[in-house]
Amino acid sequence: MRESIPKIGVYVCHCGTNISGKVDVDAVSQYAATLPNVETARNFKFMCSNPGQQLVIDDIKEKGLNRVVVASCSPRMHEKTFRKACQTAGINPYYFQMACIREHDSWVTEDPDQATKKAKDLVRGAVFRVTHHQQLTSRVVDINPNVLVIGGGIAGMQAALDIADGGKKVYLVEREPSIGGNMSKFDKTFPTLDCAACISTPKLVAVGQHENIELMTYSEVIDVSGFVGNFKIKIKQKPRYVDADKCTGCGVCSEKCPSKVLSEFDHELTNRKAIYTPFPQSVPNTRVIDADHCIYFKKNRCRLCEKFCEANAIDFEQKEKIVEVDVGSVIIATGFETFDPVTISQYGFGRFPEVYTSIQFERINNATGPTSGKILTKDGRKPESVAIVHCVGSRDKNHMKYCSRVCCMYSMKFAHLVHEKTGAEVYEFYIDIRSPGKGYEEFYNRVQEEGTHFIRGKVAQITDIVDSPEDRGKLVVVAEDTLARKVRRIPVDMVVLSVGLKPSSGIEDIVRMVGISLDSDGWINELHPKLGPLATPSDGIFVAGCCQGPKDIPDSVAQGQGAAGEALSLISRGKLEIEASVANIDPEKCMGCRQCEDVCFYGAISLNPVSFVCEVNEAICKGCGNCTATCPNKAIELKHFNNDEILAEMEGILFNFDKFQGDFNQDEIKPDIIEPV
Amino acid sequence: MTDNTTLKDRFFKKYHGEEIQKCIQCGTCSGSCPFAPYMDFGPRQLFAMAREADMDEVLNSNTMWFCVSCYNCVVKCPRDISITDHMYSLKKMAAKESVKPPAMLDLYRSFNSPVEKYGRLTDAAAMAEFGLRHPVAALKNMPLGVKLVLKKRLEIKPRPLDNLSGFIKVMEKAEEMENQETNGKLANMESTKQ
Repeated sequence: MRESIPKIGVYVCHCGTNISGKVDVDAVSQYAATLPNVETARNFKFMCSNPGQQLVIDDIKEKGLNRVVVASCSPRMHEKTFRKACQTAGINPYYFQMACIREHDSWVTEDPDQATKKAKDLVRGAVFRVTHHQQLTSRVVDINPNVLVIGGGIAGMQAALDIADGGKKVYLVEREPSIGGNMSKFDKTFPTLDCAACISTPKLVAVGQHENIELMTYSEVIDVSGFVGNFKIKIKQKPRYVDADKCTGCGVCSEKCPSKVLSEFDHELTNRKAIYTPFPQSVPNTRVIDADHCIYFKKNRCRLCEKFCEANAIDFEQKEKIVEVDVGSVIIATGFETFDPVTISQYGFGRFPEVYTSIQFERINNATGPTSGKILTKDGRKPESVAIVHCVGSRDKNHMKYCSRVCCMYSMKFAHLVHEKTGAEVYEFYIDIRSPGKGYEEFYNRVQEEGTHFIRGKVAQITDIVDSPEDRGKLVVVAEDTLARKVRRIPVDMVVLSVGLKPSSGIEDIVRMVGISLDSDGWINELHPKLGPLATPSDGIFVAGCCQGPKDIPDSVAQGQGAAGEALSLISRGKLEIEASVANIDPEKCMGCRQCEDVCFYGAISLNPVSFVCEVNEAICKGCGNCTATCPNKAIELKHFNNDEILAEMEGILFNFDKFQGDFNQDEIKPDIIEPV
Repeated sequence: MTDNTTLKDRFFKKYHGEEIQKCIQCGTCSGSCPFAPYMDFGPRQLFAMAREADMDEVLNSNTMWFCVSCYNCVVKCPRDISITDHMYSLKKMAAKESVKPPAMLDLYRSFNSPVEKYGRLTDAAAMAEFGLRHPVAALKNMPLGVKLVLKKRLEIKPRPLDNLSGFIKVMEKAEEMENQETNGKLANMESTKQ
């Protein structure tokens, strides 16, 4: 399908000094000029800049180029930029090829000569490949204006509210019986000490009442199919055994329920009933029956709640429901959970009753918590001294190697609250205090001035072994005071372990469903750490809040709003152009074995029952190439990645041009003269 | 005498002490160490000094000689540093490079020499050897020695190993391997970790 003799323009980018610092760009462009079909070869400081693109456009118009190769960064950065430039100049955008000589070469090669050599090889590959490129047209799809938000924490709620306020429909899916997330467990928030409930409860109510938000609590996303603008979502609604329309939230059922279960919301500090709401301000306020602990479900008797419910809302016959919804974009806001310090045996969590995790201590401080907001030990005493241990699980190669970012600040908030409520001595054991944020350093200074003991040293051990009379009845915290250079043993009444943040469980299933990936610590990989912090490599899938990495409340809210902005911008566009590189099945060769259907990640392939050959739904195909590699009959061709193109590129890279001098016709290259460089 | 920078280089390269660059100075090691109160400097401080090339003070300190290889620090270290291994390296370096070998080295040697001779530690032989090197200290401990003899807790006559020649071969091989110097040491350290 080559329309005319190829006339190729090659442009080598300096990328400031990113490329030219290692690669001899002059040598590469001079070399490129000697390659077959190359009409012109240049190098330029920044090809992605306006003058750089203009260079390409002018050359196409003046010299009649019909193929363009740019040797610069990764195609993920600027392939679209240069395709657009080609289109502006009047040639098909798919007549463009990019050679990655930055990420694949100058950034990773130490020796400048080797780097230059590799750049030449990559450019040669691109020049050989571009000759075989075909004209392709992108497809345009409509964007469904509905949005799915996964996770009803502060980030998810904020995103849902912003989109709903913009007049678009939002499905908010939360797996717990109530929205609110981790923030609803907190008492005060640093550094301003606002009451967490006072600022989050209005949001919960707003989400619950918004006409554009369809709230699905006690539900989980079980399947995502489709593509940007046209996702099909399957949601599993677990049975509450309480009719949401009838339940008035009076709470009589919970009073009468005889079974007792450790409360997840209070992190096992209190008991709840088998029919319950997680906390008094729950949204929705509909009760839920925990079938694992309900006496009726276990022993087939009781039904006390049913007897006492005046609204007749109890329905033991409810079944699990699968709901299907269509949306155009998805916002993932699955948040975090806290590290379980049981594995750090030297801290004695679970062994010593007075060792608490920070989230338990939040509950103790909270007015709806086990002690109604008073700081008391388990035997009801006011503590005289409290130790707060930083970096539990964080910054530790044995557990989580990253800094959890919020622990320093919330630990200092605890120090302030302990001072305020009990007047006890507070010892903060820290490695480094990290307080980067507006008003954060000032808060640190304030806590210092209140007389908190800051001891720079990671706690080595918490023990109840008595060494001196003061230790009796106390927990002894052992740590080296690295600034005073001595080992200290400090007896305290209470220990708070400032546990780090880790990704919420179940995040693996969600990323697998939407086709994105996790980093080595288990957080979601964003599109670009600086320029695409809310987008993901999957179009139409956005992230917000802690699922992408540890964050405090202001950052999570900002990300929620940002993700809402991304989704709204997509909806406003209405239509979207999609890559033209899709799979194409040759019906002459297809024998209908359906192996391609099995490997297709996106469900784009189906068997035509009449002709008994497989067909690709181009709207769904993402061009991953799985089917192409699988087809035993080689009936499937991936556009823009067909055999001619890929083999030509390989020949180009492997062909030792220096050794093969003389008249040269690319079509004549035979395998026997190909020699690895 | 070798200067501090060279010694630091030697510790980092030849003895693979480079790993201590990872240390975040949290003090978990010194806090966990049962012998920290007797040490001149805790392991944390020792590493901080070594990083800044105070090798004089490092090698003349008693820290590494007090290390009892309990591995408490290694287990808890948040940066996964093989602290105990570095203590061995520093002992070795102090024995080889220090101007004034510490008295502790003599104690180590006195323990070692009966083992080399008989394949087994014999208290009396070790005590005698140490006594020859440090007569004053030995005299001070005389009453304890008498007590031990009276309670029959002191083995006086050495009992050599049955297969002493085999044992000596093992020791020779070990020494040979050590003299090949630390080429294989990193690999050993890695395998211990696994």
